[in-house]
Amino acid sequence: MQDLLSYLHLVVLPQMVDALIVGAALALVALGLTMIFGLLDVINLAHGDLYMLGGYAAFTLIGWGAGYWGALVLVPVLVAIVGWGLEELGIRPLLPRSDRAVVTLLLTFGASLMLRDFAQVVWGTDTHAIQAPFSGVISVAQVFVPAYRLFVFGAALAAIFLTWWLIYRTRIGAVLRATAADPVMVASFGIPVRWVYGSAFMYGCGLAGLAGVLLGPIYAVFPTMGHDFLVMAFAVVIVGGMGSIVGAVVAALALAQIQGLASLWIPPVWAETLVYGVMLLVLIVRPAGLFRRFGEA
Amino acid sequence: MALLEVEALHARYDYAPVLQDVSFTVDVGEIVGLFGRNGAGKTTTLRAIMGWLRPASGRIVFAGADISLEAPDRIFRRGIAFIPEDRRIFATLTVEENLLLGLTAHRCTRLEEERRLDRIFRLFPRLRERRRQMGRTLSGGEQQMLAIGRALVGSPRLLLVDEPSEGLAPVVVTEIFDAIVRMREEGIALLLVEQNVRRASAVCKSCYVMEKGRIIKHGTPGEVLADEAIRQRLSV
Ligand SMILES: Nc1ncnc2c1ncn2[C@@H]1O[C@H](COP(=O)(O)OP(=O)(O)OP(=O)(O)O)[C@@H](O)[C@H]1O
Ligand SMILES: [Mg+2]
Repeated sequence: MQDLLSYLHLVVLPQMVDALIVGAALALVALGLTMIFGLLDVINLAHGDLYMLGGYAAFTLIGWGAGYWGALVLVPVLVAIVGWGLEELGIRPLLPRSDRAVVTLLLTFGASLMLRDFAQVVWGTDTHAIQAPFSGVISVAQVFVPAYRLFVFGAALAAIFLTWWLIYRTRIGAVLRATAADPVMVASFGIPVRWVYGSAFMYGCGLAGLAGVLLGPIYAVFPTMGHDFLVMAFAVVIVGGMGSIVGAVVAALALAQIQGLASLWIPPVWAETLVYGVMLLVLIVRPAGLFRRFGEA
Repeated sequence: MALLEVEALHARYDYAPVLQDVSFTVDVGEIVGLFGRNGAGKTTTLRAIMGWLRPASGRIVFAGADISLEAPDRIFRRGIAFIPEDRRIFATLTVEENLLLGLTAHRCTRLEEERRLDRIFRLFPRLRERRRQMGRTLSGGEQQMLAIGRALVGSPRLLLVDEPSEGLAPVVVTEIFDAIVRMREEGIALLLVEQNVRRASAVCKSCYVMEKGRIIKHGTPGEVLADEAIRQRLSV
């Protein structure tokens, strides 16, 4: 009995705390993905690479002397600007087409490859480490957590809350929800829907960039980091419900726990497989995911 | 003075012609009725004016400007609002958020917003009670009131209304028609599509009858309904 308790306390609990932090960061990437899908019906395959770009941009800016905090502020803005370019030049011209789902999928796939190649040309294929802005360990009930990880958790939570507040509690959010449900009707009230799309796309990309800076010091940056994270974020969006804000957050936290805990007992590769197993199960039982698309009743 | 002039409008869905040589005018501050049987092309006419459907040929002129090829957001900002047949209330927005959406393009001050909301709430007191309720929780009649309020709150010069009385109880229909008359008194012009020809002709100054995508009759309600064949077609 004592053994079980100390096993839970010293092995399981720390793993859960770790998974909570990963889950919060994952939610940031998934939130952008699901917002973009909910509004534009676009599956952004380049989203993971915008997260990667965030990591590399942080690495470079810190190298130039902007410092971690400077990078934390600048990177989301820079990545949002890249996202704006992608939306303006690539996606927007395709939106009026009836086959927009397929052509935008191809476009963002192409953008994803280009961004990855770009990163390799500029930063090489090596892994780059980013120094955390502070060190130290905080212990809560004898569970030791690096202070930086706690900070990541807090910052991710703040960004998640800000996003929720924007969408559900502000005038801009009302326009977003209305546009997700009925863009033609929104346009018929004088609102240029293309700007709504553009801003939401930029915001989603900014969140991916933020996740890149936050996780950089934990996992370091490397060219395929976006790809690995995107696949996981897709599982999150599918389980939570394509286009669901609440679903993305709940599913990110849940899937991270499943993966984290499972890897205590089975090899990590299999833990990942388990996550996709859960995704498959949800697809079979509830193909639309656990939560509703935002803007929909 | 003509506020809206539709000239020789042709429109089609894919390749099936729906509107053929449709012409009519709506003057400043008057109610014009557009009647016709199911599938005559009434809704399509309103959609074409609002920019939901690109005309194949012909012109739509509003306040002197050709708007035939303009997008809906531009057309709204010129002063035309559309209340579609199915109302299209935003289900996950509250009553107040729905109304404010109709004001977004105006960028007015908080005070002005409050004044305009108050005007709508005085027209439909039931909306005031339901102010914080989600659009999807409203009854059919309340949804129609909200649809009218949302279109009216931005003070359009011309309102396109598609079958406002459809599916509503007679008391509510009376309330809606009272509101329509009040709008005219405030100087708003209306293009009113109605199956309830009896009630609509009581408020219209002139009306048009459509059949198979063409205007087949035009005149004052009295003139139009004096025609036995027309009365039979419209089953009044
Ligand atoms: N989206 C569409 N695609 C193809 N054909 C359509 C479409 N919408 C309407 N139609 C056709 O266009 C014709 C006119 O339709 P419209 O909706 O304008 O009629 P209406 O006069 O409003 O009829 P109702 O009184 O039933 O509302 C009909 O024959 C209809 O079948
Ligand atoms: Mg109709």
